[in-house]
Amino acid sequence: MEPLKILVIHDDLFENDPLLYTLRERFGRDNVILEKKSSQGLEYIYNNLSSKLIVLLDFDLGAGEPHAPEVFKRIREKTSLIYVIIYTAKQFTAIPNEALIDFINNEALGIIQSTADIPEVVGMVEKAAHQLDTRVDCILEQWIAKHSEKERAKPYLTTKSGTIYTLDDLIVEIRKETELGQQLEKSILQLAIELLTSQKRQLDD
Amino acid sequence: MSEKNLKWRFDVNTFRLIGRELITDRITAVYELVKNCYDANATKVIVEFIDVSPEALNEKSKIIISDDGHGMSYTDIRDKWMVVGTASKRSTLFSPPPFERRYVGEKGIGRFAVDKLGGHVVIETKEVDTNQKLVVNIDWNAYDELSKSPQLKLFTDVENSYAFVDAPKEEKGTKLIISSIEETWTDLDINRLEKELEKIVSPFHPLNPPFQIVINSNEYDAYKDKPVKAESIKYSSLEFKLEYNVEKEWQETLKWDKEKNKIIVDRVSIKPFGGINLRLFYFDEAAKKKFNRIYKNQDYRIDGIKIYRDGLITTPFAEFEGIRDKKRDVLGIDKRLWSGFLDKVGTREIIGILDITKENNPKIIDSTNRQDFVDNEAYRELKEFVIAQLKVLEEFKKNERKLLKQKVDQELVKANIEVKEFTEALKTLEKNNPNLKQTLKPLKEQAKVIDISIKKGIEQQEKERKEYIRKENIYVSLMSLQDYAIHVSHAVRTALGKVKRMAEFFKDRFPDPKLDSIFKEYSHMIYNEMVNLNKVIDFMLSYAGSNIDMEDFNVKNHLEDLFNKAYVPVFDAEDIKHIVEVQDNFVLHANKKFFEDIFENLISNSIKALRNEESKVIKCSGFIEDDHFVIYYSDNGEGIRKGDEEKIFEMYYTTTADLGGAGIGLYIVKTRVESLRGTISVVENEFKPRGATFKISFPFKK
Repeated sequence: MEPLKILVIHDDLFENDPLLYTLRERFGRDNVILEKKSSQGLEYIYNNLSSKLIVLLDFDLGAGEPHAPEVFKRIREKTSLIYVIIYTAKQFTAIPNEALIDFINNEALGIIQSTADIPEVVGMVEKAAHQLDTRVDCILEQWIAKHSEKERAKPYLTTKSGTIYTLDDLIVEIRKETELGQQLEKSILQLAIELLTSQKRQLDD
Repeated sequence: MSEKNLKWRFDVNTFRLIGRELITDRITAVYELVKNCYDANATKVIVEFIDVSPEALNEKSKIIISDDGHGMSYTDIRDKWMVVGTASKRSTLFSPPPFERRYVGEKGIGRFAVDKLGGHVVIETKEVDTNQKLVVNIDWNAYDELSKSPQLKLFTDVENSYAFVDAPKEEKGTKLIISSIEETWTDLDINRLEKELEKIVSPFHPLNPPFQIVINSNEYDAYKDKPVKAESIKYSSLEFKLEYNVEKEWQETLKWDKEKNKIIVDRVSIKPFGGINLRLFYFDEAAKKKFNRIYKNQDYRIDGIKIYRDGLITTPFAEFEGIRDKKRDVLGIDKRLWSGFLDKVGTREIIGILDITKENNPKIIDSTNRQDFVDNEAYRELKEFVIAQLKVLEEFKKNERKLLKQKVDQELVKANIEVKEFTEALKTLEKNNPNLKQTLKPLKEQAKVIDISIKKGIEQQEKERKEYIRKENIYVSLMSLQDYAIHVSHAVRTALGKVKRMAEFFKDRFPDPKLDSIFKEYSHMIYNEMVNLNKVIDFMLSYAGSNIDMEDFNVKNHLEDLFNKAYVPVFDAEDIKHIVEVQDNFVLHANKKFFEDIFENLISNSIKALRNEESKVIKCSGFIEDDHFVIYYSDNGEGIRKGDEEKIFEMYYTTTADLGGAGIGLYIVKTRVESLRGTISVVENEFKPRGATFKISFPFKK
């Protein structure tokens, strides 16, 4: 399976920063990427939409670069499956309310101060990693992404109203959390539970 | 009646974050709930306080907010009210027909407002043409208990009972009955609330359909079914009413009549943003004092210009902000105060009511986050129009000051002449009547004393004028200090975070031979960070104490001294050729040290940029260009990366960390230039293709 990537978008961290060092120890040397410019960070995200990705995002990213609320919005335009953790030296009280509301509404996984202890930050990344591993939509998305391009472009599912979806279409539906995307997730969960319980019966027999 | 259970759909942390961080004030809480009533197409809201005074507060005390709006269905409650950050309000800007009101409520905040007011709430809500109303019982205290538990994290574990109760078909609306009241409400608190609620509706453009707010209290006589109505604006020193006429295509605007030295109302053609009605109330010092004295204990303030669309507040966007410095200044009025602020008119000197309509101002578009308008040409022109009105008031303000000064000067001169005449008269009298000499002696002496004090008065007047200019200069440099304080706190935190992480690494890992190179790198970095922090603090301290005195100096002479004397040892040591060409004389009234800081930092930067060059050159030229004195500073070093021209002035931005660059130098340069009212920018490099050139420009003082 494709390894989890941690993307750190932060203009005040350096390549060998103890935080990055510790994250690399935990998640693998090549799996922790530092981008000091948020525009380049976004580019990385856009190029790796099907990867399992956790983003540690600074709030202020310097002149001319999109700041966290903007970066966040642009990530969510493309996918709801990337976990974002805000990691900043900015005091929480100095973060505008509307930015906080947007963070919550767009499901930021957490906000953590850059003066926090390293284990605390790593702990939050691990929590995100765990959730990525167990979320239905993530697993489904990864499963779809494993298919070849050709297979993904074939009709895969027809709804009652007659609309035809390819696997690629389904990815979009899931990422954008449309009604169909949500319905799909729900059905899969129900199926999984059914499978689990019927298996259990077999075990009991 | 059947009772079932409903669950909240969010987790503890979210609850706490939103609830406790966003609704910090009780007034805001009620305000948010009233806005929700508006969004629900209510025409009347009653805010009722029962036994909330400090003496009466008990477990039966209540705050009841009831409206006659469209009410909520079971699914509304389940999917919207009980879900944080519901998207429903964001996808549409307007409430359902027939009202089609522009939504004013914050996204999904109302329910937390309820929590701020009391620990327990009963929601009774009913939609029209249904036979039952829905009654939901929410006990916030249970959530608090839950959030203390280390295991349970989700609110989904708490069930809220609800029931359907028969009710007349025509009844509609929502009633929030809040009990377990957290804080007491005095009559002053309710008054504060009233003043805030008053601002929702324009005092000059009545809403249609109406939106009436009533405050009711069983304890305070002033609040027996009291309708909230905007109070007329009193005690201003000037008042203007600007109107427009679509058919005749004119818009009124303020104009300063230079000949008559007074403000007149002029007519211009209708602006691209459409016709607007604007009431402006200007308060001079005396009027401000009076206003503040009369409304001393009430939350009623001179607080700038508010924009209403079709009678309802749009900006400052119907949000209560207790700390006035945190209020959003969308029109950018106070941003202008940076320069020449003593003559500028700020938001604390005016009250303005700007009425626009959907029909006549279609180009002013609400932005979807409802925090401002869409930044288009029409809106920019509207902002300019408002600022233009203020500029006229500024002319008036300046003129008033001039008149006052003239009056004082004239009186002093007149007094001086009168005393002289008096002394002359005494002399004549004495000459004609030598026997009166003794009698007149004390009078003569008194006249002398008066003469001296008048002369002193004139001197004093002159001194104060100079003092005023000096103070103005200091304020300007202090304002950049305010900006600096914001940057420095961020920078210090960033540095501390970095050092802390490295120290933590040492603490946990040392010794470990495998990590020796890392340890070494970190120890260098910790050292460098500390040096940087020291620089930051030194710079900050340069503003402290008495060394911000201003003096007049000739920039030409001073630059020549700096480059041809002071920095020569540095240039020699680094083998740098320097050229200094200043053509014109220009006298700057400023702090000399601040001025020197600019070049000290530019030169230090150049030394780093020139480190790999064979022939090193630094050039500084200065001359007068229009109404500015311009200095070009260049070197032929490695130059500035394209795209970094703005960034380099940010604090902690550095491309030379390996050389101990802290990213503070150019920040200091910029701050210092700005404190001298100048500007600095990177321009095309003089020593093409190598090098960098900075253009520094100081305006002439008018």
